[in-house]
Amino acid sequence: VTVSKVFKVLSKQEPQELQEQQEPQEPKLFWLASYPKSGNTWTRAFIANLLNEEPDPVDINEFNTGHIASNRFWVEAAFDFDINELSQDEIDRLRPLAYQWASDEATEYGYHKTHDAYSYVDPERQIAMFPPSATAGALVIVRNPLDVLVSYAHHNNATIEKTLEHLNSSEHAMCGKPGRPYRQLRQWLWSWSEFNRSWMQAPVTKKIVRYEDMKANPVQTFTEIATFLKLPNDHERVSDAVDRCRIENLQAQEQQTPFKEKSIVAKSFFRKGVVGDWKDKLTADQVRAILDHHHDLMLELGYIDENGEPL
Amino acid sequence: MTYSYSAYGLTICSDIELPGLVALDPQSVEAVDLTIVHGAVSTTGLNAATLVKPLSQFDGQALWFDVPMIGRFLVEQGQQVTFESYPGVSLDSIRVYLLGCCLAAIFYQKQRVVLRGAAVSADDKSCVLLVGSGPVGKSSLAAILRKHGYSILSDELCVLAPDGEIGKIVPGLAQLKLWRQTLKYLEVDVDAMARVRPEIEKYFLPVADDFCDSPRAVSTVYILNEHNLDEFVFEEINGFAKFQALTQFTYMAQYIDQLIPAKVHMKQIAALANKVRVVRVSRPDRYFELDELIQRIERDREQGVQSA
Repeated sequence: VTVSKVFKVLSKQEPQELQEQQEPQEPKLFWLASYPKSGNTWTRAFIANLLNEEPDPVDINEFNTGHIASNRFWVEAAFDFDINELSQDEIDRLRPLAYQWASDEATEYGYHKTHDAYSYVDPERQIAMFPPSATAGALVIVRNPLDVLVSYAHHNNATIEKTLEHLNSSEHAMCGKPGRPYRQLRQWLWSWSEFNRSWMQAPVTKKIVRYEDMKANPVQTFTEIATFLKLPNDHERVSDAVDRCRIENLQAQEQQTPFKEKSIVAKSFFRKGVVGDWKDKLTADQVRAILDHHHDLMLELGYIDENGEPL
Repeated sequence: MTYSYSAYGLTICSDIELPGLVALDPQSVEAVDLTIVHGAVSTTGLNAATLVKPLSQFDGQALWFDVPMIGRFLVEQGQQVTFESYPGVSLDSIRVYLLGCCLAAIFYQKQRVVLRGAAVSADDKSCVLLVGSGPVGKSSLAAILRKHGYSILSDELCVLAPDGEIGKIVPGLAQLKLWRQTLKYLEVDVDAMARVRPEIEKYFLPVADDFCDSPRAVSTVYILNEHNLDEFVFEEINGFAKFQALTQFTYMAQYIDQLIPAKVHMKQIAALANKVRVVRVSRPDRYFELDELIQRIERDREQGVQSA
């Protein structure tokens, strides 16, 4: 799907001149797609440190690997009209054009965080919000939803019960209330399973990594990530970058300087990052609610055994 | 039938009604600064475009853009806007673009700079400009300052006065555009208000009774910013940083160098920067922390006036 085709579908026109001017470009956008609190920021910290040639670790507020997909200003930059008085649905229909334009204009790869599920702004015509023609690849970072539940509740300073509703809801969105403005665009996350399934089934080149493998075998897993993202992947540089963005280092930085992506209601952004924290934090009923809702994908991703018991 | 209005110091003749603008008797209009025409606009853009983006084009003089399902717009010569709406679209949606980026483009073509923000006045000479990136509460703060006795000079587009009046903002429209949540905070009956567009929960708040109808010199520019700390931080910006900061809040900055030369823009921003205080205000990232902000801004203003 090229810009011209998306344009045609969105505006019901045939922009001949645009078609003539548009040459196919190599896609330049890598999407770092994850449900919140699944290792996305850690991945960006790794990329920033991998590309950094200075001796000190990269400042946590200077990762700058690429705009988050929901960045209002990044999307608006593609257009020469104001998008602030369009509805969220109207803006969603513009987003494929913005990403295609950003990809076409880019001279190097960008690594863009997203918490948006892989969706179609026009399902009938299969117009994806993240156009395959703009997508160099999607790194899908998954984490055990039991640990996501605990970490996400902390991030929002919300109860486990309230957060559980989010993880199990097909309607879960961020920045989605219609009667007020947000700095970021609306992001449909859907439920944990729906989010991850949407990206796992997306018609783009993709790699799926588990947070737990990033923790257990960081050098190996991050080497695979670097290779997929077309980044330097030699052992020394990967090991060095992994070391610089260990959770202890990120926490130490956050103690010195507030992290700009921290929610104002959270005590800190970089909390524990441990695998299996849920065992001390969730009740049996809360665990059951997650297992019942996400059984199939948890089994597929190795978070439960065939008897449905957490691994 | 055509309608005649006055806004931003321009005399406007329009094929459609423009509620919120000061209506003029068409018989009394001698010279027209801007004509708004409802007519055919090319579906493919400009004949000799020098910059082509997904839904917009420039040719060094004109701007053409297409807002899907709303309309196509052509802005030319600093004098005329032509629009063609998509079937079934409300005129409210068209007006948003006519009185937003089309009007800004007209001013750029007239070699005048527009800032994005809200301007309010507490006296008969000066005004305070509230700017900020994205939705940081500029119009909301203006609405609350109005309750504290300020009059409204402009909202959204803050147009710099022509050369003879350096550092002044011209009066805009006698209305604020506010989201439902802000109106609820102001205890305004939202159901009695007119929506900006049917598709969004943003409304017009008429402010004719508290409208400032003559240009005002900017005394202080407050750059509104949100952060995830539990404190308010006021930081006065000086020197070249003032110029850089003000440049950042140019309305539709991508029009620079397409519709107005960058050096003309730079010159006007520099002239403004030389005349005003610029203060960056960082407040907790909660939607409403505005009452305390108002108190602090008033305190800062008093200090600024004393030190001046």
